[in-house]
Amino acid sequence: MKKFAWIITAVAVIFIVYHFSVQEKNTRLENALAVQYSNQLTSSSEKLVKLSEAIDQTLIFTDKTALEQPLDDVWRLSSDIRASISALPLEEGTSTQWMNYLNRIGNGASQVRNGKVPLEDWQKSMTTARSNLITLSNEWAFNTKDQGKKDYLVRTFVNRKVNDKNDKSWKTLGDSVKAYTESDFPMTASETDQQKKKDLEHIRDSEVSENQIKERFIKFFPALKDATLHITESSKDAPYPFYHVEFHKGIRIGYADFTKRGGHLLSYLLERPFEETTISVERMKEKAKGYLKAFNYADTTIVDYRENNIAWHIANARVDNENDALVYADGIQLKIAKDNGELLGLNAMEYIQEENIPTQAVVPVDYHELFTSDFVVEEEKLAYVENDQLQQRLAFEVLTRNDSIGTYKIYIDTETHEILQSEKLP
Amino acid sequence: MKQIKYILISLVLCIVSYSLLTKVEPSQAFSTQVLERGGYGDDVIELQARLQYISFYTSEIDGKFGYSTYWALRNFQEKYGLPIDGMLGEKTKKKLVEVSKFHKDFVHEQINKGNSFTHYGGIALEKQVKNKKPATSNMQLPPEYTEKDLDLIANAVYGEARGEPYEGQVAVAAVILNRVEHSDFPNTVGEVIFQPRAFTAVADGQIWLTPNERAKEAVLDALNGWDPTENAIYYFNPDTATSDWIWSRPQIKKIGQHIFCS
Repeated sequence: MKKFAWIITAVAVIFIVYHFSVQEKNTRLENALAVQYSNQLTSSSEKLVKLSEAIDQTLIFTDKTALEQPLDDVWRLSSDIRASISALPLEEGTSTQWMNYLNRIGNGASQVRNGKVPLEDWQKSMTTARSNLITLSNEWAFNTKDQGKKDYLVRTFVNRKVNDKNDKSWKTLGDSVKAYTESDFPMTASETDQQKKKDLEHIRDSEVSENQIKERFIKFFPALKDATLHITESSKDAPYPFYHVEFHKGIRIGYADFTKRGGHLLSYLLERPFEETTISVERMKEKAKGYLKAFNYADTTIVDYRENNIAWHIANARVDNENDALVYADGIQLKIAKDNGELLGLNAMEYIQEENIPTQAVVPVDYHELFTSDFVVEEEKLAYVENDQLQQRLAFEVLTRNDSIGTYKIYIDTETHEILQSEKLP
Repeated sequence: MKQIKYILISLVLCIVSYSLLTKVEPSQAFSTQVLERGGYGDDVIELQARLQYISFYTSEIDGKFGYSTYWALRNFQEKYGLPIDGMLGEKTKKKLVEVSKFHKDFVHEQINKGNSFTHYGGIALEKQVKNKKPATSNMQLPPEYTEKDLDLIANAVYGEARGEPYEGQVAVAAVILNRVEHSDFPNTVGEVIFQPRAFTAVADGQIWLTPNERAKEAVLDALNGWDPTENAIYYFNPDTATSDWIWSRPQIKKIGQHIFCS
C-alpha cells in the first residue's frame, strides 16, 4: 500500500512537472507567434500610411518631374506591403484581393510614370484608394487595449480580421483600380531618412572644466542654483566628449548635457508634477522668446508649437541673416510647462554647429504649372532644407492645401525647381 | 460756461454708454483663452464641434487645432465678416456661439467611449455615431510621426524601462528613433521594435503591458528631438547583460541602470 502511494505521488509529481513544462512552452510559442504577427501587422500598417501619403503627393502635382519621386514611392511601397501581407496568415480570398489591389496601385503608378496611363485617370481613382488604405492601416495598427492581453492581436486577427465578413468590401475597393494589369515587383528599400543629426566630433573650441560647467549651469538655470548637482564626464569611447549634469531640487529632477569643448548646452530636461492651470498662447510665446534671448539664441525664431497635456513643445529655427530664410537644420526645441510657463526642456544639439550655406540663385516658380488646380497655394517663404545628397539648398517653402486631401508643406529648390521635400501637416 | 459744461458731461456720458454697449462680452461657452493653431483640449473640441455643426469643419473632432481646423475657422470668419486670422478670439467666439450649437455631453461621451462620430446640424445625433475607432494616445506630434509610432514606442519604453528615471525613459525612446535613422537597422518603428532579439520586452512579452502617461510623455519628448543618449543605438543593463558582445560597443554614458552605446 505504501509502495502504491509512492508510485501515485511520483506519477502526480511527474504529471505536474510535465504540465507546467508544456504550459511554459505554449506560453513561449504563443508569445513568439504574437510577436511575429504583431511585427507583420504593424509593419504593414506603417507602410500603408506611407503609401497613402505617397499617393496624396501624386494628387498634388501636375509637373512630370515633381511627380517622379511620389510615383516611384507608390510603386516601391505597394510592392513592399505586398511582401508583408504575404507573410500574414490571411484568409486566401482576402489576401488575394489585397495583393491584387496593391499590385494594381503599384503597377498603375509605374504606368503613369511611363506615360501609359493619363495622370487624370490615376488621380481620379486614387482619391478613394487613399482613404481605403488609411482604414486598413488603422485596423492593423499595434494595439494593447483589452488590458494588454498579448493574444489580443492574434485572437482578433484570427477571429475577426481574417474572415471575409469584414465591414468593408475589399472586392469593391479592388475594382476601383481593376483597369490596371498585374505584375510582380522586387522588394526595395524603405523611406529615406529626413532627420540628420550633426556631427559634433568636429567642435574645435577649447575644453572647459567641470567647475566651469557648474557655473554655466547655474547661469543658465538660476532657479536651480541651490539644486543638488551630480556631474559626470561621458565615457572615453563617446563620439564627442560631454558633461552630464544630473540635478535634483525638491520636486524637480532632471539633467543637462554640455559639450566638453566650448561648454555648449546640448540638451536639458526637467520632470516635476503639474498643476491644472494653463497659461495663454501669448504668454507661452513671450516665455519662449524670453528663453531664446536669455540663452543667446537671438538669431532664431519660433516656427511651430504644439500643445499637449502638460506642456507646449516649440520648434525654433535659425534665420539666415542674408535672406531671412529659415535654416531648419540649425534648430532648437523648447518644452514649456502649461501651468506656469517654466522651461522644462531645451534641445540645442543641432544648433551648436552652424550649417555652411552657399549662395544660390532664386528663380520664381509658376505654381499653376506645378500643382493641380485643386490645390491652393496659401503661403510662400524661403527656407533651407536638405536634398538627397544631404546638401543644404535654398527652397521655396510653399504651404498648399486641398480641403479633401489636406495641407502640405512643399519645399522647391529655388534654382532647379526640384521638389526637395513634401510634408503633410496635421 | 454752464452750457458748455452740460454739453461736455453729456458727451462723456454718450461715449461711456456707447463703449459699454459695444463692449464685447465674453461668450458663455468657451474659456477666456484665445485659441490658435497648435492648441489642444476642450476648447478646441468645442470649436471643431461648432464649426462642424454649421458644416465648416468636416474632419475628426479630436481636440487638436491643426490645419483642418485653421482653414475651417478662417472660412467661418470670412463668411461672417470677421477679421480673418484663424484665431479664436472673443468676437469670433461670440459669433460662433450665436450661429451654432454644441451638444457638449454627446460630444464628450463619444470621445470618452472612443467612438467615431460627427456633429452636423440638422441630423439626429444618434445617427451620427459610427463604430469604435482604434484607441490612440491623441497627442499632437511633429508631422513626421504618427500616434501609432508614439503608442508603439511607449509600449516598448514601458516594457523596457518603467523603473528607470524619466531621462532613462526618454533615452530608450531616443535609441529606438536613432535605430530607425541608422543604416544598420530597419526603417520603421515597428520593424525596429520587433526585430528579433532586439528588445528584452518583446522577447518576454512585457511589450504588451499598457504604458502609463509618464512613458508616453517620455516618448513625446524623444519624438520632439530630445536625445539624452547623445546618439546611442544600443543600451544594456550591466547587472543582467549576458552577451559579451554588448561590452565591446563604444560606451557613451550611463543613465539609471542602463549603459548607452554607439
